[in-house]
Amino acid sequence: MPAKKSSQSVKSVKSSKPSRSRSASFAEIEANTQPKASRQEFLPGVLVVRCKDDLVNDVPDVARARVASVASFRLPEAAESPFDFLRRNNLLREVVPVFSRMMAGRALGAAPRSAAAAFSLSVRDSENEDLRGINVLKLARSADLKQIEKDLNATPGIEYAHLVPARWLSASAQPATSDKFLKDQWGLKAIGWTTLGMLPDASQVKVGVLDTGVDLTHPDLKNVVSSYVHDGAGATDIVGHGSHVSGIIAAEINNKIGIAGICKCDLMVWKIFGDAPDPSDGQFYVDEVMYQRALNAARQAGVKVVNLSIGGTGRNQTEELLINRLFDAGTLVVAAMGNEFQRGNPKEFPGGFPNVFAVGATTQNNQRASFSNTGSHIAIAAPGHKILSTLPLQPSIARGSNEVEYAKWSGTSMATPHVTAAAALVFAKNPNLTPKQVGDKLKAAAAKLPAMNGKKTTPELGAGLLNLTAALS
Amino acid sequence: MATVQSTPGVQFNLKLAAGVKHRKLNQMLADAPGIESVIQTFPDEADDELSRLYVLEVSAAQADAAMNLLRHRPEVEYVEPTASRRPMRKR
Repeated sequence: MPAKKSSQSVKSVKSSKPSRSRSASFAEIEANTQPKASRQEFLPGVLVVRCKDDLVNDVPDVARARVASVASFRLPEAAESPFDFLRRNNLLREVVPVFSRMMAGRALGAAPRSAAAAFSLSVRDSENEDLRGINVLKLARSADLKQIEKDLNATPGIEYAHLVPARWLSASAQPATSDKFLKDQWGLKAIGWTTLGMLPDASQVKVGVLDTGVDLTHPDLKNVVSSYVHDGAGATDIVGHGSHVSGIIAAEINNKIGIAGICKCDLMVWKIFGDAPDPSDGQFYVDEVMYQRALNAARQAGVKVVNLSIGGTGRNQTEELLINRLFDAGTLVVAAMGNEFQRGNPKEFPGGFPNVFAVGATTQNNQRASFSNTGSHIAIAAPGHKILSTLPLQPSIARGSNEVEYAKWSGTSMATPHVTAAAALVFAKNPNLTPKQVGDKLKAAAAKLPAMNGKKTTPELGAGLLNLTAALS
Repeated sequence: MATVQSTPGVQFNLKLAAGVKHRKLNQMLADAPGIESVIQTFPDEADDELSRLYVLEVSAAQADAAMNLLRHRPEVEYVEPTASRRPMRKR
């Protein structure tokens, strides 16, 4: 076990805090997404509609249909009538089966306005019994929502229709639309981020990244990191790992460059690595003193979610003590399962501690990544293969020569921040939840993957694939 | 007797037993072989438990002897080798 000397002195803990410019950087987003009227009661152009199961009895199963045929699907006449009216008057933009496990856009193909197809998906393909039949109608802003709500509530087969309270909007930003590489962020699609109607504002939720540091000059990170503590080492993120993890969580959204992070949160970064690799094997290892102090500082700072994209097989009582302190203080600690499945699949820590939410990695095909460790302690799985995120602008001997600005990396390290950011969003919506409740919510909402063979949890994928849509419902 | 997996620059985590003062640690470490430095992890911490946490740097050659001496001292709640942690990026 390599262990290196700490470069810290006993009283070296000071904070290095760059000025915050969050409000300015998000001004444009907020201007674009906030309602024009200051006290709008309901969201314009949006209705929630829940259909009864038997409404789609005679509608074909979308999952088994040819894409070209989906547009011709029809509900029984009495139920189809109000939607026909909306289409004829060019008021209906889209019907979204919110909790369908399939990617709704992909499944519906060129038929986004087909209520029959969307309702069929929402009933037959719902990820959760309790959420079956729920759809969102996106309508023209000029639509008379109250009349449409009334008409739908009088329609056979519709359980209810209702307006969406505008308080959601007042605390939300829409998911990104302008980030240049968004299309390459397959992980965001896999967890349902790109189809979220609204993104909860987590700017008051403190998220701690304990890692190799962060590049504060990166254009996608410079406005989102609220504090960076690197005492005992230089500010440079030599390895780039912390910058990559930070970008997955919180890269600036809708700034027309680079990638989109999953949440807009209060991102605090602690560097817990030294600046030189271990001479015995050339690897970078956590500095014990920096790490322990960062765990305690995160608790003292009131961090709600801590991201630990690190691991190792040794168990450590002091580390567990400090993590338990965080848990008791209301912090969800999220950690990587490890990447050594093909090398004995050892139990790794901190992911293996009881009060840690351990994350495995999946591929774009929604399968466990071949390297991702398994075990009964896994909580959930998230995208962790070829994940595009931010890297320091300056090259480093610790990375490939082309690995600057952005790169696709793999590992349970990359899966973990997906879950961290999701937890921050859940905390944003439910500030009084305990870390266990947030973890339970993420697990209950997870999408069951085919490899789970109908089981609620498996050692390979935990409770299933992270599903933001359901977790935020 | 447990064997400590040690390499140059080995570190131990040590937690003093409840009620044991810092000066007692200094006396104890004077008797232990190979101790190169002692870092109190939270020197300004008012919390009693956290104030009893230390990271020791020990010469590799004498790590086993130091560990065995320290883990049998009543003033020590536990002493353990630090566990290595590295980034979980798959290359």
